[in-house]
Amino acid sequence: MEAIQDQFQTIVDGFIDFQGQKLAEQIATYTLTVSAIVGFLAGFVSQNIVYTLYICLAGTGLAFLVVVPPWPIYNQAPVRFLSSGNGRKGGSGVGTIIVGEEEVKVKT
Amino acid sequence: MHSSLVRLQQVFGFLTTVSFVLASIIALTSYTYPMNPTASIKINDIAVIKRRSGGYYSTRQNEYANIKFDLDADFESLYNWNTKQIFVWISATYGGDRYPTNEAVIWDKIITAAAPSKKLTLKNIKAKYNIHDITGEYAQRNATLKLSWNVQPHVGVLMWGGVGESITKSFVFPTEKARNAV
Repeated sequence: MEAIQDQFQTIVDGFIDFQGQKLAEQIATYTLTVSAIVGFLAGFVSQNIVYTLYICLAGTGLAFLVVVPPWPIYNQAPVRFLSSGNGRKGGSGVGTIIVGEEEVKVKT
Repeated sequence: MHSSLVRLQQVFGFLTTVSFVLASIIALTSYTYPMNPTASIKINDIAVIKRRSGGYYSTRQNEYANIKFDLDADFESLYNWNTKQIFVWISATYGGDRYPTNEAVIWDKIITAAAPSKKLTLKNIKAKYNIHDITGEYAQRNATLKLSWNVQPHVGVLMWGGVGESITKSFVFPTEKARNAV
């Protein structure tokens, strides 16, 4: 039961990593802005405001669909924490973190 | 943006900003279209009759004016991409001793953007509304018919206007045709 609850909680939470958050924000901004601009121009050129309405609604729907669920593309750079095994008191242990593509040894 | 709920709020929040800006720009474009409808009114017949004014039991009598007119109007220039419909009306304005400013609507019409023609040609139309004066008598006063319009946009503020001075039409209310109370 608890496992199902956890799974459900994960789906509802939909956590994504930091890179994903940046990407999601950019996608939301550009989708909404571009759809508004395209909708305005389409409506203005054709002198039919209904085109503006539908294009903007489509852009809005797309933005919600693409940005809100935790798609895998937003979870490609998960944060890796140091393993807890090295973490003795006094800070004598050595761990590795990944900076860019390289592993770097650090004191813990 | 770390969880679904926050992303939902973010997208919705930015959506409101975008919508507001877009709506403002659309509303502003309305001002770029010149609005100069043309019209001419011809009065064919004015009848002033006396009738009981109130309900069935009322004994008070009022003069009612019923006007028949021709209207030839072109409202094409009021329609742009942001026009939902227009409301046009003809009103009679006249002075008076005790109540110097009077205006009464005798006819009106809504023409939606979907209407096949934005031109109106009405021949010998009876006024939609019989008008009566607050004093109960017209007493051969001078009056003017005026055509006014009101544009209702999809987005933005209502726009009001009247068709220029050339459209107004002066006339004199005739004496009442004697008629017994119905």
